[in-house]
Amino acid sequence: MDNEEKTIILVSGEGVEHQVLQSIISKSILIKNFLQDFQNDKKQNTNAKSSLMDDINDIDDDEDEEVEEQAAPEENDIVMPIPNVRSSILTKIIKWLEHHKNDTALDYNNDGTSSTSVDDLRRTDPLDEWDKQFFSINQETMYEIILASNYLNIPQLLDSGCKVIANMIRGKSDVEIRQIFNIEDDFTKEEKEAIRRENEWAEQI
Amino acid sequence: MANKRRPKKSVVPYRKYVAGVGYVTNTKTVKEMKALNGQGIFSDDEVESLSSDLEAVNLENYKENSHLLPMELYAKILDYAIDFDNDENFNPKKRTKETKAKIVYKDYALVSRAFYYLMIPRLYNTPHLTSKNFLAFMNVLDADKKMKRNLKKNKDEILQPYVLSDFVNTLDLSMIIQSGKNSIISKLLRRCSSNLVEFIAPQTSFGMLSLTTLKACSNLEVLNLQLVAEKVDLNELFPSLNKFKNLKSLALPRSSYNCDLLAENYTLRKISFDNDAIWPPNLEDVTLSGNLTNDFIELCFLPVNLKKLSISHCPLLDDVSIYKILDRCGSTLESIHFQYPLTKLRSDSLDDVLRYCSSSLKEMSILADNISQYFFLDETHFAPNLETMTILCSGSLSQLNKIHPDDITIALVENRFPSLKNLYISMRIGWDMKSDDIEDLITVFEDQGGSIYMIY
Repeated sequence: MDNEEKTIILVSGEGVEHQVLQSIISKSILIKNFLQDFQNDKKQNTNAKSSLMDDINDIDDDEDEEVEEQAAPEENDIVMPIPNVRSSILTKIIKWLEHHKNDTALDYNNDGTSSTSVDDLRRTDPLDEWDKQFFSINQETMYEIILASNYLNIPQLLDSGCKVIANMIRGKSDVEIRQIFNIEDDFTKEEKEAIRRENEWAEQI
Repeated sequence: MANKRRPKKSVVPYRKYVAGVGYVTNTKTVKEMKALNGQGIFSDDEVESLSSDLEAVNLENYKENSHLLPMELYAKILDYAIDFDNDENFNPKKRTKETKAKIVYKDYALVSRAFYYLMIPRLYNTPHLTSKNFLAFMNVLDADKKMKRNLKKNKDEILQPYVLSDFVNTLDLSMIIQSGKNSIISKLLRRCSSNLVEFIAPQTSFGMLSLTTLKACSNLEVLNLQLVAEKVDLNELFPSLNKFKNLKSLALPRSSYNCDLLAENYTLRKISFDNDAIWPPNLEDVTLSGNLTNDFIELCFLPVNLKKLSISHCPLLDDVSIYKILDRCGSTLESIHFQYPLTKLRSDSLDDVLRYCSSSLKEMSILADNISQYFFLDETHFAPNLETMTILCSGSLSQLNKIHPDDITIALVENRFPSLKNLYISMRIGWDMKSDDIEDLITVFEDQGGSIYMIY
């Protein structure tokens, strides 16, 4: 029970602190792994401390303790800086995580998002209304949320974001897609013609 | 005589030959670089570093293009868009055998260079080929072959770092009817052989030549020859199949010959097979059809770990052979399908199928022509995990009302199919859907949480 109630403090790029429950934020694989490593280190340190009680002068141990003290000023709170995410984006991500806290957990790999269930989900799971509403924001913010979810490794949020953009580009011409992504056209006319000719077969169905 | 099938000339993107200048890239011509090198201005290392510098400049420009997301996210978004564009039932995890081929719109490739490189593997991975676009597709691969040849000659001049045919993962030629020649199909197979995982052979134009080429596709996992209308020499086919270590699913052709010759060659060791097994070692799904004989089944044992077995169009197999097969593989089977015509079977030949299958059986299609009511009434016939059952019927005379709805109702009441959820019954079985017997069956089956479907 104690573990579930633990609060994590996320520090955004601007230095604003956001408090989140561990159970909610552990949907982020990055933070989940961080917390696991953190706890493992803590355990190892306490073990090391008890076994090496006599060797108090060990400098390495002292350094570790200092780091630990810095990271956890209070007993239950763990501070984690997230410098590449703005405060407003972090608020939005926390809002999304809180709404989806009761979603059934999917089998995502610990090291990344490429789990088999993700592919299955791709087809079967359309976006729910809340998510559609959540992503009805300006494109820049949307891209920022997607980038942040990619960085924090929150597969469900990343999938939802990508689905929203995929829906936006569906059936659009290359010019429209370029506008959506703000990409420059770096093809010459001849190259475009060659690509068209090369892939003509794909449309003669 | 002019070769009308010769591929048209097509310009490959990013690489253009200019007379007297050589191959022109977007930055500097290769020949120019070589000329400079010839004058001794640059050493080989410097040429390399210059080209990497040029690449770096390109990358910088690329960054300035203000891409909002990293490439892997663009790839993810494109994957979703492609999936959304496709059929509702399309599932990227399943093979084309079970779902529609993937359709990819080429407009995504025209967005930018980065998108083009992302899209090319997706476009060529599962090409949706029909009679209309088959030859156009072949032309593109033919033009690409020249690149392949150049790639072998001297690597420096190649600016397209890939070969299109290497991206082809699945070839579903089931829609190619009368529009290919033996040589073209064979050529296509040869071009795509390096990474081909799934191949569904066309109905026509799959002859001896293609069979020989098939040997080159060593990474095949799914091989479906069921549509092939031409006679296939099993004596040629099996020795090449034996080499496919990854082959998991195999459907034999409907018409074949030399089955006995193969069995004889195998028993007399005239043809050598790896590990002394005639079948590919890792098969999980087999469709037996064609001119397979009882001797063949007796001499050439099927692999033991089969999960799916289908038997159809086997006019020479009798019930003894079928039970021999089931005796060997029945314990692992999850799915078993019988389809007519199995002309050598008697009207009650398949009654004991369930005795040979273990509790792992989940799916079953059975022929009403070859079972009697005892298939359902025998108390020893029990399938604890069977979820889907299909009862097919040829609809010939004397087959009508051979199985009565009450037979199934009794089996359900006696709880011999406790997990059965879907029951598909052919209309040809001749049941009156408004009769009381059917109503009883539906009531009992709905209590169990199942549904009955009538199929044609």
